[in-house]
Amino acid sequence: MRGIFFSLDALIAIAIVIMTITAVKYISTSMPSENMHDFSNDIMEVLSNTQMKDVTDPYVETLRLSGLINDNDTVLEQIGELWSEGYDDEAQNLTKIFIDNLTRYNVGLWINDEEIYETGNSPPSTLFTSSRIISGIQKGYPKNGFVARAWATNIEKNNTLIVKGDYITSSVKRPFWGNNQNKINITYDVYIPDDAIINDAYWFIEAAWTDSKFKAYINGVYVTGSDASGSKLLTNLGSYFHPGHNNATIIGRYGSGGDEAGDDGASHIVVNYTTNNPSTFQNNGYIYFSNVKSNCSIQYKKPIFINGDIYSIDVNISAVGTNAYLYVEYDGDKYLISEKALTDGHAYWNNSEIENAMNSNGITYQNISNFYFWFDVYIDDYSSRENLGAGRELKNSSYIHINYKSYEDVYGMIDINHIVPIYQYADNDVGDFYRYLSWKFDLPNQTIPLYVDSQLAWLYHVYTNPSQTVKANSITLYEHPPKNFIKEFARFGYSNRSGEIEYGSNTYELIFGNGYSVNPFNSLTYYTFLIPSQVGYGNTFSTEEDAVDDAKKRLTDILGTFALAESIHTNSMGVSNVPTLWGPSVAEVRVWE
Amino acid sequence: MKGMFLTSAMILLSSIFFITYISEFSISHSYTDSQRVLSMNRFIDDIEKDMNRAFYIATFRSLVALEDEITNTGNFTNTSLLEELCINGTMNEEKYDIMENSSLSNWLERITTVANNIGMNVDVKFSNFTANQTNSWFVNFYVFTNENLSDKKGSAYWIRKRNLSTSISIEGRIDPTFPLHTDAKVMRFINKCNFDYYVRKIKSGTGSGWVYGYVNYTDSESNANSSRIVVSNDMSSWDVDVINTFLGAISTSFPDNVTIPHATVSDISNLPEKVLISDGNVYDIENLRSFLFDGCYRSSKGPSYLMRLGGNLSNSPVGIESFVNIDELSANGVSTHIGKSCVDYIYFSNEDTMNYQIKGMPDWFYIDEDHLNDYNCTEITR
Repeated sequence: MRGIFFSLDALIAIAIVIMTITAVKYISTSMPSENMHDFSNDIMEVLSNTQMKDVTDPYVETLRLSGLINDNDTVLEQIGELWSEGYDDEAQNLTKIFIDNLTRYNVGLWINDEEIYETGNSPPSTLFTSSRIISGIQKGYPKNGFVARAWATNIEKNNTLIVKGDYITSSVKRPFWGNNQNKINITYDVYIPDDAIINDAYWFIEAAWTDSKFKAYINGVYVTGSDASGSKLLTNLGSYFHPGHNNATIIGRYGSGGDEAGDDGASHIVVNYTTNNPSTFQNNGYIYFSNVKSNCSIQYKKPIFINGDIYSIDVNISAVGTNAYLYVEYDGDKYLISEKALTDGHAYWNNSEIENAMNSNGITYQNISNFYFWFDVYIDDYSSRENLGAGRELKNSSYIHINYKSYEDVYGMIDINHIVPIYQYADNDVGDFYRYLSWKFDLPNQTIPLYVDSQLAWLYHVYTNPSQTVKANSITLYEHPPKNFIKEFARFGYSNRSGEIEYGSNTYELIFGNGYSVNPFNSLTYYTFLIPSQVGYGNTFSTEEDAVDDAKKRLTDILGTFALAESIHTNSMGVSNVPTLWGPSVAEVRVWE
Repeated sequence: MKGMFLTSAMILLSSIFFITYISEFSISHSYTDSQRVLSMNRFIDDIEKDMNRAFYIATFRSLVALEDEITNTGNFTNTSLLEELCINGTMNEEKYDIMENSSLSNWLERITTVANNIGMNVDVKFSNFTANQTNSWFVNFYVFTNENLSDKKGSAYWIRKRNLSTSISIEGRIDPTFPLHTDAKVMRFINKCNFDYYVRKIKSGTGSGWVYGYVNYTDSESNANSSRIVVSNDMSSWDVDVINTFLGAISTSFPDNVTIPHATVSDISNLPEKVLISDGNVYDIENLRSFLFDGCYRSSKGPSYLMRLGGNLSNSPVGIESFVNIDELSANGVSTHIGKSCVDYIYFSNEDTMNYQIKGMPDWFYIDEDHLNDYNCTEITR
């Protein structure tokens, strides 16, 4: 009996102990767990659903007055923004308002595992968390920022204006012998930017025949020392020119036996100037003739180089005379487009007439794109020997209009011309004429090369068939044979299609066989390149000032090499409130005991 | 009997113990599962909220990127590129700096990483992206989302389809019309100005001539500032030769033979700092001048912002317009066309319009016939 009693007692005791343990365990783990978990969720719900505009706490009011509160944010977003922008104390205090004194448990808010605020720091025995993600914030980065762009409106660039002479002749000799007393008057238009400061200018004149005489005038003023024959380099001409439109006139006359006077196409005027106008490049497709007056027929050969794809061409001639002839010269051959009577002083060739005539001779616009070709205009039946006759004139309102698409877009670009000095010459032919010539230049990074152009003082020994080779960076651009021999190799130009012009070192070479040579000292080679006049939006900054400074620096970095850094005038504008998709950051409410 | 009692007690206690253990176990597990589903549900809610934020950020930056590209290159761009910019962060399959880490794809990648960390799969497809304008000052963006989210354990999945939408203000954006027609030399940020009127007649009266200038209230001819429009209550006793040296005059009464622009009005009170006198009436034209010199924009029948991005200068019911400042163009080396209407979309187009100079405005300032009434200028044409 006693055994049973004790056994029963022991069993009851065990049962009570087990039930107590179970009850305690259930209460201490399960129910509190649910409470703590619900509690963490509830806090997170409050933080992420309460709008700041509904919060009227005095501390929040002070933050609001400081401009730190975005009323459209939720409390959680606001805390995140304060945290991301370095307002750690404010983020902490704002959090404190919402979670302090809520419960006997420890509560805290963390963002990306970084504590914002916690009510207690005892190590957790039980921990429950509730998390939310917030994109657009990241520690150390502003939620909204500024981006800025800058553009050069008024830089000071040193540029070089190059006016290349055309091949223009008229007879100065009678049909059988002697001076016909004619004088050919050639006037080039020289347009210098209105704001330019002219630093220096020179003019190299090479007459059509080596014996023919000439005088030179700039803006009607005789150029001292220009009364010469054959060729003449006239220097220190800066004072003759002024900003704006200038005239440069050659008056050619009979020499000592040569048939014609005029310009052999190697003449050039070079004006070095400083301007504030970033864009001085003219590419509207209108190529004007110079004014030519003569009492004999006139021959005018206009070399043309288009660094783009040609779509159409029309030619409009305004002249005094009876009729006009239009020829095209390509690859050493010359083809008649047609002869036209001058009606009221005008003759006009439309695109169909020109394209059909060229096509019938196997020339396409594709052939003459990116390759020098010539339009030859004769006023009246041209002869190199004729008697003095009625006055003729080819007016400078005459033009060749070429519709083309440039290989490079010059929009928003600053154009720069750089003359390239001769690098090497060898294989002397006669006098200062050489059969091998090379030029070297460095193209800076961040630029856009447009083209290389050269005007060559050439010499050809007639009745020979010399080879003619042109290379750029070892790429052969022209080679006779197999291509045609070009008698008047006065011009050559090329643009970058497949490595002809590269960043860094570039080489341009002319190689001639016996019987053909070029004078390197009277020839002119230059390259034209573009630099951007603006930079677009860059990184996002916390202040407009920083964004604008960055934009200006980026622009200065580009322009500085080519323009006087201290004289770059930029304009810039910032865009505010540009949001950034930082993160996502994870906000976590932790509840523990 | 006692044995049975003891056995029953043992069975009872064992059962209680067993049931307690089992029930605790099942409560614990069902509670955990439900909490996990709830957590995932909250995460999905987060994604939805966050997606709205991401869509706003991506579209905002897309608009900036498109404007940047147009301004940088000088080429009008198809606004359909906005979709590629917003969703992929690329333009014509090329990365675009300003969209770096700011496209919907970027957002999705990052959200996927977060989701994977908590044991979820996220798959969101974006389609039917559209951008339009229903008013002059905001561009609306819409995209359809197809969201598939699931627990990696396969315990739950969510499929949602919805339309996201957001609106981006165009204020503060560059109007691409200006840089593209000025070789990037003139930029114009869209600056909305709210004027109730542009030109307002403030005094009706009689007189002749027109002049615009500062007002000088005075009570005697000896104190008058002749470089200003002199205003006095009664000038009938003043020396007319002195009056004729003034820039202009406003009074209730004048002597005979006044040759300067003047207005005889019934009351000279409350004139603003500057006025225009025209044919005896006095006008306030400051808002018109501000609109010009501050580069302001207004709602109009001109091309909308999206149309301007595409180079389309035709009319729109949600259009905007501004004035071209010829002085600004000239100062930046841009060729100008004096005589064209200075309303921007007409100035930069080939449209021929009948244009009028406006009194009190610069000599180069013309407005076309259709816009005279919009700017309250019908009475003050030259």
